[in-house]
Amino acid sequence: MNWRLLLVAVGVVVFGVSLFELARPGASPLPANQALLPVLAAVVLVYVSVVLNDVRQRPDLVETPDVELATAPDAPGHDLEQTAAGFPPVAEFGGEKQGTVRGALRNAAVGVLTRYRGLDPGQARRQVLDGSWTDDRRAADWLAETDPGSSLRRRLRRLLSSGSRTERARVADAVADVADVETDPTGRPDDEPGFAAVADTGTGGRLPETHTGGQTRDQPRQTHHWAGVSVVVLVCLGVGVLLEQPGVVLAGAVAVGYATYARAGPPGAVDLSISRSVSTTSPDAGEDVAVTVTVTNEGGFCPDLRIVDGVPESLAVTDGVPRRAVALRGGESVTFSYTLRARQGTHEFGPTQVVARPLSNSTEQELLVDSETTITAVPPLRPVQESVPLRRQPTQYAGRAPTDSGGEGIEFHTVREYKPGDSMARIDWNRRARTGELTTLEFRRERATRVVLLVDARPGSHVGHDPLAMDAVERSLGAAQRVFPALLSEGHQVGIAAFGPAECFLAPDTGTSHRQRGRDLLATHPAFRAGASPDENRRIWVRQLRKRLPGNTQLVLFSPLLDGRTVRVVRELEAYGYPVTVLSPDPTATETPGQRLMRARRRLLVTDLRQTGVPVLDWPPGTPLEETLKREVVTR
Amino acid sequence: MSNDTSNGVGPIDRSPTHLSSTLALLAGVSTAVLSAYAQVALGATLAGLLVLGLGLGVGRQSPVTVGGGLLVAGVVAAGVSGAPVSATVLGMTTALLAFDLGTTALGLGEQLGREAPTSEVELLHAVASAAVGLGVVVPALAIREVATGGQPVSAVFGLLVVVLLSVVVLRRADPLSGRRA
Repeated sequence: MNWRLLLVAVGVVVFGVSLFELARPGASPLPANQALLPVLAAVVLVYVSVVLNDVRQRPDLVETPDVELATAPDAPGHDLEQTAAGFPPVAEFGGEKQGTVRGALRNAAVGVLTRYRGLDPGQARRQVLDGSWTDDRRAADWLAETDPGSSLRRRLRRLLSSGSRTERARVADAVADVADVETDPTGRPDDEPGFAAVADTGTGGRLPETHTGGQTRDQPRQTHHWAGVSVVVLVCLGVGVLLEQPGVVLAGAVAVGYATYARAGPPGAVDLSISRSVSTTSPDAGEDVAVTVTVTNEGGFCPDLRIVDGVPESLAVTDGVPRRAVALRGGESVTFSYTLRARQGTHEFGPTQVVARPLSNSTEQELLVDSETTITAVPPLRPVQESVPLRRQPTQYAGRAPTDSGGEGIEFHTVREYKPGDSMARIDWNRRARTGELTTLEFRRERATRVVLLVDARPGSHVGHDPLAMDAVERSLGAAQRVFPALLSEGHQVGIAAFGPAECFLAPDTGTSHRQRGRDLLATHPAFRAGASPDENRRIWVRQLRKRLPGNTQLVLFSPLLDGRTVRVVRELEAYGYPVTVLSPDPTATETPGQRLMRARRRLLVTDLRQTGVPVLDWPPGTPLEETLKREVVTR
Repeated sequence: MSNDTSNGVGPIDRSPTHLSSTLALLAGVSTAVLSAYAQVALGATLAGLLVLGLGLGVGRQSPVTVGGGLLVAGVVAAGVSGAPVSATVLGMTTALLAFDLGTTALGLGEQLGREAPTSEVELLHAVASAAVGLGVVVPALAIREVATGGQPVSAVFGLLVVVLLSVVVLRRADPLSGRRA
């Protein structure tokens, strides 16, 4: 600071002396002559290099998130190694070293060979180890156990390619091929994400930890917008004086003007208030919502305000732009609007991000202004038009689920000997007329069942086949939303619970208010929101879930069925006497080898689960839920 | 069942804004015209214009800076090869404006995207920057008209030292130091 003052003082003194000299040549004590000028010019030019060094260090500007987009779900299987490691181990095949990629891929290959080629594990293992299981020589060689032959070339290749990405990708593709996974013609050979990875789709992440609401203001920072201009000043002076060109020296004066402009005065204090209104806070899912934002300047003149509204991370803008650059005088305000497409669930707006700059562009200050707005969208009531294929299970309540015991009902079951007290209407009068024998008709007894819908909302399930479409949890919730009223109107008692460590349980019940409760819970419960995962390490949630489930209940699980753990939990629940039906939205894609391997793995898990007697309704994306239900009813 | 509703469009277009880019290129063209007194100078400014346009096309800062630098170098070269003082001084103004507006276009594009309405702020920046340039050019040319020829070397020397000192001081000055947040 003192150093600067001294320089300024020296400058002022020299300036005065020079002016005096201009007026009265020869009167001042300045020791200058023609020879000193070039020396000074050279000093100036040397200083240029010092300044240039600084200019290169340009800081990053304040970043703004892509608020227009909704957070895109990843396709499962972006990590090939983890996908391979997650294949269910083949029971009779314990000799393989798990933990290495090669071991995991061998296990995967044996797994698909036993299921899809009907080999027994020993045979499959032999084929994998001698490399005869696939036509892809490189994949087979890489996976084969030992000496792939006397060929030096092969041996060299194996040595060089140990663990290379290409070889793994080829093996993954070969495994997927055995499992009949089709290759996407637009696919890519590597595991790079195809969709330009959008880092952030909301402004909430920009808030500091200590945020308490209201207005958060960052320190203003240099933009170094004019960083090069002092170099121009110095070059003009140096060159102009050296070559005695007054025009160039004067041009330097222009640059001095801009350098001063860049430093002119500190930016004024920015003070803003924001109000946001939405056309409706409780739209139907899929409905368009108009958002109007008004930004008012409570402070002095702001020549450059760059405003980005805090569109909820989970919602996408369909029309209009939630961004604006405006100049506002004190007290003035600006209003802009845009349209959102509502999706099922509760969506909170983030703070509005504002970047304020002075006229000269030389600094910028980031502000985050809160204006709390929440939209809650509940999907319209639309029960499925097909009957939900529940498991057979007798209870004491009259209802519409067919059971395996005879009695009153509609569908013919058996004929038995007449017992006194049987209803006249159930006596088989045709037989009585033909043979004189008195028999009673038995019908399939229909009974109500207690059902709990389990929705898999663990973090790993927030994946989808297409970054622009719904993820598996959303599809699960959508399906549950439609199955729930359908089961209720069939007379069942229906409850809802989260499949995972999140706390969410609605005990089975019937009635209109229960129907509404369930609908709201599915639409808005925080347990189903992405990123709302509680402690992942709570492994005891299965036991807790089991404790809460009433006896004599059957379960419908909505899960993408991507990992072995899900299958184990389903088996456990079955073992404890809860018949489970799985409705599984398929979130797998086929663009990269890892994704194809994941699809093969999911097929394997589905097959395994079906073999234990659990019906799995595989629901491919883009098909109506009814179709999937109907197919299940027909094949049963 | 319309379960796969679209999530919206792709990532937003963060390329430089149209208005400032156009103004920057116009300033660059003016610079080229004003420097057309020597082949070297014209060559440098045309190259600068090309690089600047390229930088705005791809949305990168470094070509915009390099383009601005080439424009300035062209103006200096024109001044050295005997262009009139007024042309040199005006050329310097337009060269710096081209760099300034190009950088503004980049910053606005990066932070708000091309779709956002930004023209009000862009015009304000452009007018302010042009006013600063003219605010220096006009008095400078006027002083030159008044005081032509025969300045003592010692006075020139002294003024040169003053400018050098002011650059050093300005570089050390922190425009934010006077501010308490």
